[in-house]
Amino acid sequence: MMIQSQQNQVPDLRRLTNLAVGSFWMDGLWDLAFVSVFLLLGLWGAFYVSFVAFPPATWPAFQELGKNVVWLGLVVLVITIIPFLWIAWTIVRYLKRVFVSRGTGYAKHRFFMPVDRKLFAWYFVLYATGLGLLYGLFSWIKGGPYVMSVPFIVSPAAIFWATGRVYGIRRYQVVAVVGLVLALSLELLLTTQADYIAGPRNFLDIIPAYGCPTLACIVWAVMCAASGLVGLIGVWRHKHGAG
Amino acid sequence: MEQAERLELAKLVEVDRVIHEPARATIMAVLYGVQSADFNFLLETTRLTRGNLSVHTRKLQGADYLEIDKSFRNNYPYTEYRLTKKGRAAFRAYVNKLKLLSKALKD
Repeated sequence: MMIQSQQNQVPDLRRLTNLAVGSFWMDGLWDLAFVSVFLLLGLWGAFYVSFVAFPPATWPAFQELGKNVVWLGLVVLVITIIPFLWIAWTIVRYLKRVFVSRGTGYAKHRFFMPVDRKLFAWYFVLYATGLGLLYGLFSWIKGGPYVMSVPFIVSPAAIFWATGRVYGIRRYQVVAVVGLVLALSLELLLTTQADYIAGPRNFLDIIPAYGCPTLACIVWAVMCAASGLVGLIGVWRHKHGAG
Repeated sequence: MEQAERLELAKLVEVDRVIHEPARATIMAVLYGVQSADFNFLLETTRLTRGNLSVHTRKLQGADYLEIDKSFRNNYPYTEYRLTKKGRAAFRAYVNKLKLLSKALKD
């Protein structure tokens, strides 16, 4: 039976297109690829925050550079992440065609997929609300807004929720909620305020103005790994007639 | 009803008959979301029967909305479908027309 609205037996065309687009994430391979993306982001976050929050006092030139380091850091991140994503995309497409397609059929997706406008609407509403709430919460409890941490906690949660909602991938909505709660709790419980003069003892020793983006990235990497495995198990079950 | 209004309404209800069939609209909607898809993927996603899928894809191919590539992979026949530029434009126009029609009916 085709997907149809119950009232008039007309196929729901937008839902069908979304189903085809959403099939890209269904098998979990992209989630597994994103484990490394989050680890890379976490590594970048650790260096970046430690440099911005604790500029080396022995080299005054670094303190001058510190004024531009926000932009420089973002440029480095974009330059690193784009080829990384392209390689991940190519590998995932190959694995889908060779290993997954035998059970589920194969669809070649475009790099720029036709994205439903609802996805952007959901994302921006959730992201803006989350930013406001968490900045307030961190300022209230930890004495600083955790400017760097909050986007790394909220943005993946908003993306997972919006994608799950628009493309009908339920596990993404679970991942969004569990990841958000986990990242928030760990950030509140594990981070400590560093001594500014002595510097941080480890990446959890932070100043409350910036927070610890690495911790959120590690949480999302773990969530992506779990989501990827669930997706692959779904494919395996489907292949063997249990799904 | 004014002549101009009647003409406008007639234009509005003039939909693409090739796409305006549930099975074919379904196939077009699925293929619109991807670059190309194989037979099994279309079968899974559209939930049409094998026979229906073959018949309707041939009809879409006949209208130049669809390209069908047949080949062999590991000694098994493999069929891949993709929308042509004309097909994509026709599907977009069809969906826009349905939206306009739906809006006109609401007004």
